[in-house]
Amino acid sequence: MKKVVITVLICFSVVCFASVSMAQANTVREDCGCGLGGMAIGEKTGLVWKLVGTFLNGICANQTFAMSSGTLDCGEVQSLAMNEQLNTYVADNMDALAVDIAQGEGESLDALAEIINLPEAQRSDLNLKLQQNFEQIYSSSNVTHETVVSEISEIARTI
Amino acid sequence: MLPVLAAAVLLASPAAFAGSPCDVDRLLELAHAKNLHEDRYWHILMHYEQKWFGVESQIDDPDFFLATEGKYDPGAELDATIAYLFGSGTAQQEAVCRFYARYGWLEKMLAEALPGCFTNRSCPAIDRIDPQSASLVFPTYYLNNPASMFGHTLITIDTAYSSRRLANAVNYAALADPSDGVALAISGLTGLYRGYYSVMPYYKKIQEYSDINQRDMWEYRLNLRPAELRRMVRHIREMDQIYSDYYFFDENCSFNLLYLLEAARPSANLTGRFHIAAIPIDTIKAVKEEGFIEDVAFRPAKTTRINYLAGQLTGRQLDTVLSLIDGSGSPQDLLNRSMERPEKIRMLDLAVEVIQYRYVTKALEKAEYRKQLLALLGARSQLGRPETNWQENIPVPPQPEQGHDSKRASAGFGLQGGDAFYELRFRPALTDLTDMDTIPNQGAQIAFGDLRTRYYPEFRRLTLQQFDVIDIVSIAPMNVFSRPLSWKFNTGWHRKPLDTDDDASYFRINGGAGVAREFPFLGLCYVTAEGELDISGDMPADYALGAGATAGTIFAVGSACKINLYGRGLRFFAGGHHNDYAAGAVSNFKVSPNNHLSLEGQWEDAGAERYTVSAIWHWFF
Repeated sequence: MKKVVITVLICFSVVCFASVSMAQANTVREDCGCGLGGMAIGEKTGLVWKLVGTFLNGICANQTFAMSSGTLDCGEVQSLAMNEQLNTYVADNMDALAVDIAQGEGESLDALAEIINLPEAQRSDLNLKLQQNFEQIYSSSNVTHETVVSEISEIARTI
Repeated sequence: MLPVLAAAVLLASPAAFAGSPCDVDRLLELAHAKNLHEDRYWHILMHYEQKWFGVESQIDDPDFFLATEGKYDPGAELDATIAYLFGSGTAQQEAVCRFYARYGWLEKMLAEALPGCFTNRSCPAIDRIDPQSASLVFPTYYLNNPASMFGHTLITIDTAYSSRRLANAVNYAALADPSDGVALAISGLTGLYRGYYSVMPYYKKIQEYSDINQRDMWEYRLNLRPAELRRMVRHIREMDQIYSDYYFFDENCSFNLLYLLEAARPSANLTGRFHIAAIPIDTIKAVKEEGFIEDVAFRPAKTTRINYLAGQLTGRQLDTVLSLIDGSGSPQDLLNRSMERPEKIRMLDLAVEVIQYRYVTKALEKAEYRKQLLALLGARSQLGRPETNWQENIPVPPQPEQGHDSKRASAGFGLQGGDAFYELRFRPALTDLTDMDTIPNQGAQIAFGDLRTRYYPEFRRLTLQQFDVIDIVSIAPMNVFSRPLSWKFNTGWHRKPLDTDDDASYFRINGGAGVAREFPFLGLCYVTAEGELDISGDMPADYALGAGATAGTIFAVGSACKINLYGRGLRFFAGGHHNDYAAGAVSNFKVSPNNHLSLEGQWEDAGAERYTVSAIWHWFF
């Protein structure tokens, strides 16, 4: 009897451990894409949170400005006259871009400059102008990625 | 699927292949004459592994095989592949695009003899992908997620862009079906999950690991040439939507990336090195030994950045940052203060990092986060750029692949009470609290299968002293900006002195949670409350249930010695009633990366007193 109890307990502890592990083998975010659900619960791990993440993404409307990815990629990225790639990139990097623009430099801005095919010599100029116009680009906390894209494009045109 | 790779395939124009004369029978004949089914590259592309009897592909998806017995029969699969690629029965472009790596290899082996079969055949969609370079990326240990405890690896491939953020991240992960909770519980170790390769923009991975999980990332740039990279891309495309059963210990994320590297450079021996377990850091060491690694870059996690910036500021400046974060101070007021511009920049940048951290840890609501972020960034945008960017000054910690190896064998001797003993230990993985190679400033212990046996020569007695199935401790220090939880969990066989006769052997499950803080001179101090269940035939009722606490401190002495002092008290109030007190010290000297010396001393009283001192030599391999 004693042996049985011990065996069961060991199995239980190992399986518990394994189950927690595996539920996370792909994380909440990876399952959910980059939307609000994934972001909001990024820190929480485990099966329950994974389910919540899926659920949240299911009901996610087109709110804006979650960190880094924004909730934007939950909704359909609208293709304006702008380059599809730029749209996707800005939507996916709303917060990271906001920080880099306010700081006047950074990896997210370097990537942006590459996407819009801006010659390297002009990138510093663009960054500076974007920084000077930060409050116009990110005019409110409800700003959408479409607005950010068009503001950035407008400024890039003056370079 | 990532834009560049995927879009290229989707947009592929259905270029017609001119029907050059190709004698499939001659191709088969030649392939047989050359014994191509035994060729190493064929085995790499098919993920064949040598088994006791014959070979078996590690891939489990029937869609990957063209022959019924393809998983076990390289020859049959090769014949079926040739028939599929060159026979008249299939749409040729579709076939070539589906198995472009296989096609490319056959072209190399057979085109000279039978050029007719290979003219005007290609997959423009994949050819259009122009890989420039690749890196192996290692997000470091993440104790708060057991699946990531050993770290994780992925490969990034740079194509059209030079920006790292826009690289393609190739990842192998288990895809769990969250609707089936029972399967989830059992699947962990038994391979019931399906693992898939996936490709996505690297910036998404940076967000996941660096911004949300707070894991520093190491990027090992590989010296793969364009031809090698193209072979790798072809194989990645071939693996699209193809699953293999996922095993946590061996057929895991890191192991499966090795196939991609072998597909790029078949002369390398990578997958053949790992049989029982593939620990991510060990795969990186293997890749390094095979000469793939060109240089290495460090990408600090958000908490690493916060800790660095906070260390650059005075106490008063930190107070100001705190006031910006809790809303009692306004960013605009800061601009008007008489203070050097670089200082204002550092303070605002720190405040931004901290509120982002607070948002991802759910300490801050989204509406409030947005408002604060925009206010801080609005002020920050008026300060221009600093002369030198602080991000470039973050110190780079020792490279993880330069640390000790994963497995540890140890031998030593000691005294328990008045009795001398010799001790032998073996631990398959990985690190403990007194390990010099772990992340500085963090108490991390990830120990699996720690086995300890003793021999007492006086009594000619051999004992199993300890066998820890798992023993995990995460001691994360609080600071002014964050209060992470410290925790521990361990289960395994141990011994304790319940009475004066002999040590009782018992099986225990112990877990606890607490807090930690770093103090000058005292080191990293921690306290955890914990509960424990003991099972033992030597106890009344065969079990004991208890609760108590552990407190201790970990500190480094110089660059080669780390010490853990601890005290523990548990009261067992159900089953076998007893109190268990212990106090001790473990010191660890790093003699060389793979040779450490431990001196340990402990007093314990669980009904009877016991003193133990020992000296143990550890050898990592």
